[in-house]
Amino acid sequence: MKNSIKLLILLTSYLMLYSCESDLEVEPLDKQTEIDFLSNPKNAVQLVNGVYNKNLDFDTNGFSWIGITSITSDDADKGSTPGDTGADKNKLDALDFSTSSISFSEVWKSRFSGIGRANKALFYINKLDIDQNLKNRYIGEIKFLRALWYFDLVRCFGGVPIVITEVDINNIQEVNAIVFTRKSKQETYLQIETDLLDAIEKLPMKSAYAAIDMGRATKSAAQSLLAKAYLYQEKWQQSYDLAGTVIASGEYSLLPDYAQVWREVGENKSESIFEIQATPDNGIQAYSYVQEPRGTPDLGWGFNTPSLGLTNSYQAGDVRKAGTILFVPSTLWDGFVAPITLNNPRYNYKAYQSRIAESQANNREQTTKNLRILKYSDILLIRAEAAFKINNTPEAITRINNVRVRAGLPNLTTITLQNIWNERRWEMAMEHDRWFDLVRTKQAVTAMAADGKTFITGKHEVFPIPQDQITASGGLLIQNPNY
Amino acid sequence: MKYNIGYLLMLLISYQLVGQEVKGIVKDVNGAPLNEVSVFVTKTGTNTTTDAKGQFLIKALVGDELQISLINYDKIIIAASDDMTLVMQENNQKVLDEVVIVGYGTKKKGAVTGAVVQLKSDEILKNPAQSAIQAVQGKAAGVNIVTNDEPGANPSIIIRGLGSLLGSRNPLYVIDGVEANGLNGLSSNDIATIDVLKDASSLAIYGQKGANGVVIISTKKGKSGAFKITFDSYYGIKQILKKVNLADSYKFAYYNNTALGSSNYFNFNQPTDTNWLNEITTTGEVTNNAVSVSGGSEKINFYLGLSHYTEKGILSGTNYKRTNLINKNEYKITDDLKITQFVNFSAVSNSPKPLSAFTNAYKQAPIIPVRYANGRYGVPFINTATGLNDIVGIRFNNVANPVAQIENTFEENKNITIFGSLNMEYKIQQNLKFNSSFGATADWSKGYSFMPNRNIWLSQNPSLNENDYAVQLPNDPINTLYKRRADFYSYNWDNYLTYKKNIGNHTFTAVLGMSRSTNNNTEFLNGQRFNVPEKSNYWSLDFSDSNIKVNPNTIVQNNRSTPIISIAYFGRLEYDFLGKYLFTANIRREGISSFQSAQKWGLFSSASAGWVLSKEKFLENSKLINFLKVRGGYGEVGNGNGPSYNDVTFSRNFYSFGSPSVSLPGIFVGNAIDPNLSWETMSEFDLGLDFTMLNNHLTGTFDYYNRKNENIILPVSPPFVLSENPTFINTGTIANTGIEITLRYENKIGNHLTYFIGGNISNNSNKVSAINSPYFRNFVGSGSTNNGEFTKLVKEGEPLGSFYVFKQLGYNSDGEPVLDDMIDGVMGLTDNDRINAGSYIPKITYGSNFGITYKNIDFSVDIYGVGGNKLYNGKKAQRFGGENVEVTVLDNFYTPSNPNAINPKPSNNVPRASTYFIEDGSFLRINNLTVGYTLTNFIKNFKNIRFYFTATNPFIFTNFSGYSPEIVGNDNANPLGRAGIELDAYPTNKTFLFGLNISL
Repeated sequence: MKNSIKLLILLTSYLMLYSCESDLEVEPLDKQTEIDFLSNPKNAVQLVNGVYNKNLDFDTNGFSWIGITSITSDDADKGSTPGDTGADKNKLDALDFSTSSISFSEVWKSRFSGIGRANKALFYINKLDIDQNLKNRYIGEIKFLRALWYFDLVRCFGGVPIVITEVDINNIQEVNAIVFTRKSKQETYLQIETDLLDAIEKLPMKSAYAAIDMGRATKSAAQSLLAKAYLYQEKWQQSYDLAGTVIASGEYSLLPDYAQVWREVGENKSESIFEIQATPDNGIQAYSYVQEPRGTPDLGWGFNTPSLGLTNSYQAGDVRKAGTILFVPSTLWDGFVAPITLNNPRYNYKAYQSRIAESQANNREQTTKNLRILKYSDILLIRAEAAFKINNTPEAITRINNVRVRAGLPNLTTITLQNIWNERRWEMAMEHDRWFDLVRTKQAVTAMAADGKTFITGKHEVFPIPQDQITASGGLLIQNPNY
Repeated sequence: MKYNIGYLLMLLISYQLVGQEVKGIVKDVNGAPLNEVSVFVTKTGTNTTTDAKGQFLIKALVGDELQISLINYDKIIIAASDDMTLVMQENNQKVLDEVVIVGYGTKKKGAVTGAVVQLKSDEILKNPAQSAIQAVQGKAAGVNIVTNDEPGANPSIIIRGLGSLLGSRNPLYVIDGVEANGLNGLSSNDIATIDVLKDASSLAIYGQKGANGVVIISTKKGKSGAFKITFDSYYGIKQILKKVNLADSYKFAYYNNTALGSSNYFNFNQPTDTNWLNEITTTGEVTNNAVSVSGGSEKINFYLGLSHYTEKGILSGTNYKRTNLINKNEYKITDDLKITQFVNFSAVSNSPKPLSAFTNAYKQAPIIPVRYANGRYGVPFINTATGLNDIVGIRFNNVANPVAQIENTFEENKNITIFGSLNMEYKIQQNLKFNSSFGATADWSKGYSFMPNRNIWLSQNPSLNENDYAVQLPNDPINTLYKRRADFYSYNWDNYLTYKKNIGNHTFTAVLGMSRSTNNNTEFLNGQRFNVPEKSNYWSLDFSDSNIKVNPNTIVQNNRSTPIISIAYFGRLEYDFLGKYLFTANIRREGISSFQSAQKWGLFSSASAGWVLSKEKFLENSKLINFLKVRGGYGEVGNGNGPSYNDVTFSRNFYSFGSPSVSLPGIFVGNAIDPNLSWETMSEFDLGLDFTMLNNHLTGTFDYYNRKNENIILPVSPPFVLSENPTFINTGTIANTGIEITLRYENKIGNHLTYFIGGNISNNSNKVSAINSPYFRNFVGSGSTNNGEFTKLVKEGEPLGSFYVFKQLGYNSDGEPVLDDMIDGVMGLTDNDRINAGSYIPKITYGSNFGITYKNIDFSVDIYGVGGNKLYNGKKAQRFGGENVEVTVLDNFYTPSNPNAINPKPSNNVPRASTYFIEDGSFLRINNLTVGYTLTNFIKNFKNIRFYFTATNPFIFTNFSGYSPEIVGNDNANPLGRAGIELDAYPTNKTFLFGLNISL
C-alpha cells in the first residue's frame, strides 16, 4: 500500500515535469521569428527592396493602371478586338465610370498595399540597429515610394485616407478614424510634400550611389516628384524652383534619340530620373504584354492603342510620332516585320519589347524593360509651364526648345500656354500623364469632345471610390460627387 | 543442467499422469450447437473453445470446476463430468452489455450517457472499399459520409454538421491509442470495431482535436485458446454506375452550327463519332487477400495480419495497391501489469490520372478521332472548306484530347506508413489503475510526375514535328521530371489514473490524466529536372549534351512545417447508482502552441446524466419495455485548428538594381496578424433516449442535438493598407441542430431462420448564425467553375455550403437566359443579385439494412439515401464555345415558336452561374447487396468456408442528371471548393464481387 502511494507520487511528479508548459513555445520551422528578424541588420535593405517590388505587380502597373490613365484619355483607344472588353476597358474608353469597375479597385488596392508595405518597412527599419546614414537613406527611399503612391491616389480619387503608421486591425475606432476617413485633397498633397521633403533631405544624388544601387530613389527623383506635385497644386514658384534645382544639378540630360528613351538601351541613362526596374529575373507583370500587337503573330493582348487624334496631332517632322506609335504594317526598329494580319492599325511603340534585340524572360507575360516614371524631359516641361505661370517667358521658351530640338522641330520664339501643353502631350504621349494633365489644365472637356467623348465637369475630374471599399468601410468612405 | 531436464521431464510425466480428458457439448435453448464457447478449468487454468458442432475436449478431472462462457449468454459454473451436455441461456442483455469505447476508458452501452455509435468487423468487411470508413455510410445516424471511388481516395466525413471552415474538418481518429487524421492505411480486415463519438460531452475528454467528432478504431486481438487462422479474399469488377448521354457527331454539328448561326460550318455528315468517355475508361478491378493468425494463452495473446489490396480504376491507367502488415500482442506480465503493443505497416502505391479528363471527355467534340491515320492525336481543328475535322485547320475549342491527356500524364506516389502504440496498464491497488499509452506515426512518401512537354505540344499540333518544336519554343524543355519526397512524424502520449470505488449502491469512477501530442511535423523536398532520358529506368542518369541554365530556386524546394504541440490535463468523474442514475462530468485544461502566449490555454468542461427508467419500479416489470434510458448532456470543446504559428510572417520577394542589374531579395509583411487569435469553441446540448422493447427484439436510439461553434476562425480582409492579404480572426458562429433516430429489430423464426431489419434517419440544419467582423468578405469567388464564374458564398444567417447564383427568369427573344438583376432592387447584374439556391449538404440522411440467415445462407441489403440537397452541374456550366453538349440540351431549346423552352438557344457564350445549373441532389441507392453461403467443417480442419457475392451500388434512384450525386469535390472536400459541384469529378462506381472467407 505504502509503496503504491510512493509510486503514484513519483509518477505524477514525473509527468508534471515532463509536460512543462514552456514546451508550447515552439521554434517555428516555416518562418523567421520577429526577434531573429530584428537581430539581422541586413534585413533593413531587404525591407526597402520589398517595397520597391510592389511596383512589379499586375495590379500596380498592369492592365488597370493602363486603363484608367491612358485608355480614358484622348491619346489612346481601348484597342484589341471589338468583342474583347478587357473586363471594363470599353467602359473606361467611353468615360462610363462604374463604382464596381475592377480597374479602380485594383489601382486603389495596389497603391494602398504599397503604402502599407512602406509603413511596415519603416516600422521595422526603425527597430533595426544599423548605420544611421544608411538608415536615413532607406527611410528616404521608402518615403519617396509612399509619396509616389499617394500622388497616384490623389490624382485618381482626390483626397484619400492618410495612413502612415501601423494601426491595430482590432482597434475599430482607430481604423474608422484613420483608415476609413478620407482626408481632403490639400491634406493628401501635404502628406506627399512632407514625405518628399524628408526624402530630399535624406537621399543622395544619383552620382553618389554605387553602380550596384542604380535604380534606387535619388534626391533628384524626390525633387522632381515634388516639383510635379507642386505643379498639380499650381504652386508655380515652388515647382519652378525645384525643377530648376534638378536641371542645375547637372546629373541629367536628354538622350539624342527620342525613340531610345523607352527602349532597353535607354534604361537608367542620363534622361532617367526614376524608373521601375524590370529585368528578365524580375519583370513587371504584363505591362507590355497587355499592349503588344494582337493577331497573327500573336504577341500580346493589343490594348491601349494610340488614337487617330494623337497620330494626327503631331507636327510634320516630329520624330516623336514614329517613336511613340507602332504602325501596322511596318518594319520595326529591330527588323521585325509587323504584318497586316495584326488586328489593330497602331500600337504603343513605347511598350513594345523586342524579341530579337532586347532581353526577355521565359514567360512572355513578364515585361523586362524599365517603366519610366520620371524623366528629364518631364522636368524641363514642368519648368517651362511653371516659368510661364510666373511670367518668366524666356525660361519657358528655353526649356520648350530644349525638348523641340531633340524632336527635330524648329525653335519657338514666342510661346503660349497651349504650346507648352501640346509639347507636353507629344513628349509624354502614352506615358500615363495625359488624362491627369487634361484634368489639371482643364482642357478635358474640349479634348474629350474632340475625341468623341463627354467629360462631365464636376464628376469626371476624379474617378469613383471603388464600391467594395465603401462597403468594407461600412459607408464611412464617402463617394466622390455624382457617382 | 541435468537436474533441470529431469525436473522438466518429471513435470511433463506427472502432468500426463494426472491429465484426464473431459468432453462435452454446448447448445443453446433451441438445441443448436454453440461455437467458440470458452471452457476454462478454474483450478489449472487450462482452457479451450468449442468447435462448430459445439463440442469440446479439455484436460480436466471429473469434479473440477469448469467455467463455460460466451458473450451474451449467462455464464455457467459447473463441476466437470464426462460427456456433458450444457445448455446456455441467452441473457437478453446483449446490446446493453456490449462494451463501447469512451475517451480513456470503456463503458457498457447501457451505462453510456453520451451519443456513441459502434460498428463491428462484419459490418465493415461487408463493404469492399479501400477505406473502412466507407462502411459507416448509412449505418450511423448523424454521420454524413460522401464516398469517393477514385482509387486510393478517402471519403469525406462530417459528424453532426459542418462547424468549421478552415483547417481540418475531419474527426480525430484514435487507432488503438494512436491519434491520427485518418485510417493511416489500416486494412478493413484488421479492424474489430469502429466507435463514433458524436456529442460534446463524449468528445470533451479529447479536447481540441476532437471538436469535429472522434472515431475510435480498435484492431483485432488474439483470444486465448487454440490458434485461429482466417483467410479472406475477393475479386470484383467496377463500372460507372450512371452515364450521361452526350450528343453524337450529327447532333454536335447541329447544336454548334445553330450557335454559330451557320448551316454548314460543321458538316452534318462527319466520318467520326467518338465516345470519349468510353475511350478513357475501362472496367475497373479490385482484389483483396488477407490472412490472419491469432491466438494466445492466459498470459499472452497475439494477432498477426497480412493483407494485399489492389484496385484498377475505371479511368484508364489509374492503379492503387496497398500491402499491410499488422501485429498486436498483449502481455499479462503479472496480475497487476498488462502491456499491449501494436504496430501496423502499410505500403501504398498509387498512380493517379487527371480527373479533368472526365470533363474533357464530356466536352470534346465527337467528330474528332482519338488518333488520325498518321498516328497523331486528334485535335479540334475544322477544315472550313469541308466542315470536317482535319489535321490542319481552325481550332474550334480549347479542350484537350482526353486520351492524349491521360496517356501523357505520368505520375506515381508511394507511401510507407508505420504507426503503433505501446500501452501499459498497471493496477496500483485494488481500486486504482494507471494507464500509459504512447502512440506514434511515421510516414514517408515519395513520388514523381513526368511531363513530356514536347509530346504534349505535338499532341496539340498534329501537323508539326520535333524540329518545329525546337524552332518555335527554343527555351522550352523536351520534358520535365518532378520528384518529391516527404516525411511526416507525430506522436501522442497519454497517461491517466482510474480510481473506482463502490460505497454501498454508489459507484464512483474518477479519471485523472494528461496528454501530450506533437503533430504537423512534415518536411518536403521537391526536385525538378529538365530533359531527362525518356525511359524511366534511366531517369537518374544524365544523357544531355548541354546544360540549360535554369533559375536555381526552381530546381530544389525544401519546405517544413512548424509542429503543433498540445498539452492537456483532464479529469472525469462518473457516478452510478445501481445502474439507475448515471452521471459523468469532464474537465480539460488544454494548451496549444499555435496561438500567441496569452491565448494558448483554454479550459473546457462537460457534464451528462442518464436515468434508466426501466430500473424504476413502475417499469421494472413491464412486458413491453425491457430497457429505457433518457440521457442528456452539455459540453464545450475547444478547436485549435488555426494558423499553425500565429506570428508575423516575413515573406520574400525580389527586385533588381544596378547596372548591370542584379536580382536582390526583398522582404515584406504580407498580412497583419491578430495577436488575440485563440480557440474556437464548440458547445453542444444533447438529449437522447435508448430503449429495447418486445423481449429485447427491438432496440432504438433517439438523439436531439443543438450545437454551436463560436469564435470560429475565418479569413477576413482588413483594409489593404493594414494587410495586403487576408488574415485570420475569431469571428462568427455556426449553429447545427439535428435529430437522429436509429431502430433495429431482430428475431428468429424457428431454429434456422434469423433476420434483422434496421434503419436510421437523421436531419441536420446548419446556419452561419453570426459573423461579427466588418472585414469579412463572404468568401467571394468560392466554388469556382474555372470559367470566370463562381457559385458559393458564406453569408450570415444562411447555411454553409449554399450555392449563390443568379436566378434565371426565362429567355429573351434571342433565346438567351434572362437573369433577375432586381434582387438587390437596383438595375444591373451584380453579385448582390445572387440568390441562395440551396446547399450541397443534405438536410436528411438515411440508411436501412436488412439481413436474413437461413441455415447456411445469408443475405443482406443496405440502402442509403440523402435528401434536401442541391448540386451544381459544373461540367455543363463551364461550357466555352465549340464544345459538346448533353443530348437533353437539344431536346427542348428556345425557338421563337417555343418561347417557354427548358433550354436556351444554342450558344457559344460562357454561361453565367445561374439556377439553370442547380439540380436536386437527393438520391436513394442500394449500397450493398450480399448473398453468402457457409460450409461448416466441409473439409477437415476447415471450421468455416463462406462464399459470397456482393454488389455495391447496383442501383441508384435520383433526379440528378450527372454521373454521380455524391461529389466530394477537391481540396479534402473543402466546402468552399468544388464539393457538390460536378466538375472534374470521379463518377461513382458499381462493383460486383465474389469473395471467400475461410477460418481454421
